[in-house]
Amino acid sequence: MNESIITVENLVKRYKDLIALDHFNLEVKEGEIFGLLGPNGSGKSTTINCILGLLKYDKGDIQVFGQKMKPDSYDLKANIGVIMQNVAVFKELTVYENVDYFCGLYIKDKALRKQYVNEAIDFVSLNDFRKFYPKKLSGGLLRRLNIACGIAHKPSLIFMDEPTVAVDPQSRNSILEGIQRLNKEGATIVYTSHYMEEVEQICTKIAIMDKGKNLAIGTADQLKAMIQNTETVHIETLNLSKEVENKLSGLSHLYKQSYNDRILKLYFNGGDNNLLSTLKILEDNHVRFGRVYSELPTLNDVFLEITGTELRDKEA
Amino acid sequence: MFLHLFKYRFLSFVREKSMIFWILVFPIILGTCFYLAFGKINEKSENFTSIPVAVVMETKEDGTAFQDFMSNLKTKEDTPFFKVTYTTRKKGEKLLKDKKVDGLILYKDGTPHLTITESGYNATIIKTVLERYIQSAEVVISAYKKNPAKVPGILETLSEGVEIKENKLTSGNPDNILEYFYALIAMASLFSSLTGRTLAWQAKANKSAVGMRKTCGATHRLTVLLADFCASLFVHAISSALLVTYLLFVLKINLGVSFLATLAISLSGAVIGLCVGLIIGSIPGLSEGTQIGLNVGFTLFSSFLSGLMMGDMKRFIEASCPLINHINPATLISNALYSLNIYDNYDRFLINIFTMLGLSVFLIITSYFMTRRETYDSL
Repeated sequence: MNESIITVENLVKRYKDLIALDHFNLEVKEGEIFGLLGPNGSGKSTTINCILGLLKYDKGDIQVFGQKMKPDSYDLKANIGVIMQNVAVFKELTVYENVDYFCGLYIKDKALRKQYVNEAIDFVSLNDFRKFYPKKLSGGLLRRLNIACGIAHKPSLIFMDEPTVAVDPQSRNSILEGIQRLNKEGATIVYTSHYMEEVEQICTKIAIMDKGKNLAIGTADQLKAMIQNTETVHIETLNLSKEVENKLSGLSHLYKQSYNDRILKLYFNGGDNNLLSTLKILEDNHVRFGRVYSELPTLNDVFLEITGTELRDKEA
Repeated sequence: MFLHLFKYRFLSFVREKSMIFWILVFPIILGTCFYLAFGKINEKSENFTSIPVAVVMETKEDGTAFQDFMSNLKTKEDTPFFKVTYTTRKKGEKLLKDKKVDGLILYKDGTPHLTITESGYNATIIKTVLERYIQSAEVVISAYKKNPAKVPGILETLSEGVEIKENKLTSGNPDNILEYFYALIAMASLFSSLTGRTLAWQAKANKSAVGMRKTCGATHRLTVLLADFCASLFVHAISSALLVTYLLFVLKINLGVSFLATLAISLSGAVIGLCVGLIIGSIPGLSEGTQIGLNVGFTLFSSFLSGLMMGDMKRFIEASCPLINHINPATLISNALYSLNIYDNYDRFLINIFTMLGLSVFLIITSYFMTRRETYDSL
């Protein structure tokens, strides 16, 4: 059984009257890619900053590698890599110099550091930009540099706070693949994001957060199993009559339905061939329809069912 | 480790163009402007220009001899001692009041009477010349009464001329214009507060992402801060050396202080500026723009009080609120340079240096306690 790398118990953090973390609990085990999923302001970054010892907290206990994290815990910090939400590089230093500078905060041996820096630059595919200054890099490349600066010293625990914000799809995919590679190489990763697709794609364990609380924890499948939804059918149709809506409500395993903006949504909590059964009713009643698709539950559905609001709505 | 951090911080500082402008380019431009405005300082004291005086002739006797004396008095280079304006008493007083002339001479009953409004080099010359004239006139009149035959010989002796010789009280350069250049060097030193502020901003996790990353690093905070501080000071050592080299060897200004001494004083000032910048950069709740404004404001105001814009400012402050002169960093730097130039002993210089040292120690301790923090209430 894998060891606990991070344990957080009953963590409380207040900003004056605002409770940012409300008796928050967390356990991250070795080898996991642990995702903290929640809307902006849910307490993801606050959690990371408390674990890193950057933020004071009001109550609770935090252990990293079995020890309490303090500002002068340099031996612990040596095994930790941090990739900030904001790009943390010197604009006056080149790509190579930036990675070398930050790697130098951890690695004293010059030859070893040079090897690590080259590997980190290679890892984020910035070899062609080694002598570039940050202002010459695109947003995606800048994010990659940010990652290289955080992982060059080969830490065993990496915190990534929304590393893909404002990144183009190509760079995003590259970053996500990189995170999985780091994990395969042995790093435990704590990953925060409000992009549920990303979290679902790469995280081996996920905690859903809102208003400073840990609402649910588990693998993506475990989280989805916690809710009653198993399938959502979407159908684009004009002028759906009340009569047909009533007939649809008789479908087995249907527990909820809605019709807004020409989109009919049918929520099922089990059963097979739900889509076919639905389409048969529509055809029998001569209802014309356009696009039709069936969707398995997402983490957004989990969030929706637990909090009553959609993760996407909160972002908007 | 230290050298690694030092190297990259040095590189990042020297590549920051706005910083280089304030600590090097701006002082060089200002120094050049001073040089062009004040002329070539070293040559100024060697050229004598005629002293403007107003003469009012209120005499029933013949005043031709006095008028001839005033007109014919010349230096060895044949420059007239006086630029004489003959006028009425009322107009003469106005000329003196308006500082169009340095002295008003009222010639009455065979004797010149001098009125001046302020003491100085020119006033001393006028006074000396008139005293000499009065003494000579008495000798000639006395000889004429006793033995008229000796008068031509006496006149010949007296006409050998008046010699004006400047006796220096110091081996330094007493030119007041130097005060502007001392204030300029002080200003350049104190612009180190800009790098100090950047240093604090990039050290604190609640101020910048770089600060956050550095705080998460496995190197002791004091080592990182020290490397940053030393790199910044090294940049200032180079910029100070370039500025002093430019003043001494390109503009050829005789600062009255050696290159190394000027550099050492300038660096002491840079330490104070760095610490002030660190403190400003650590003040919570201020935006980066506000901090930069405070920095530039501090440097320029401190330099203003030391005489950067008005040469007499230090004397004015000394008369009205001397404490400011004793704690204002720019004045301390300027006074240290001045005392090394003017005084042949080191008493005043040491007072300035020890005051700067005390101020530096106080600021270093204060700034360290303000920037060392690693855990925050909010980020």
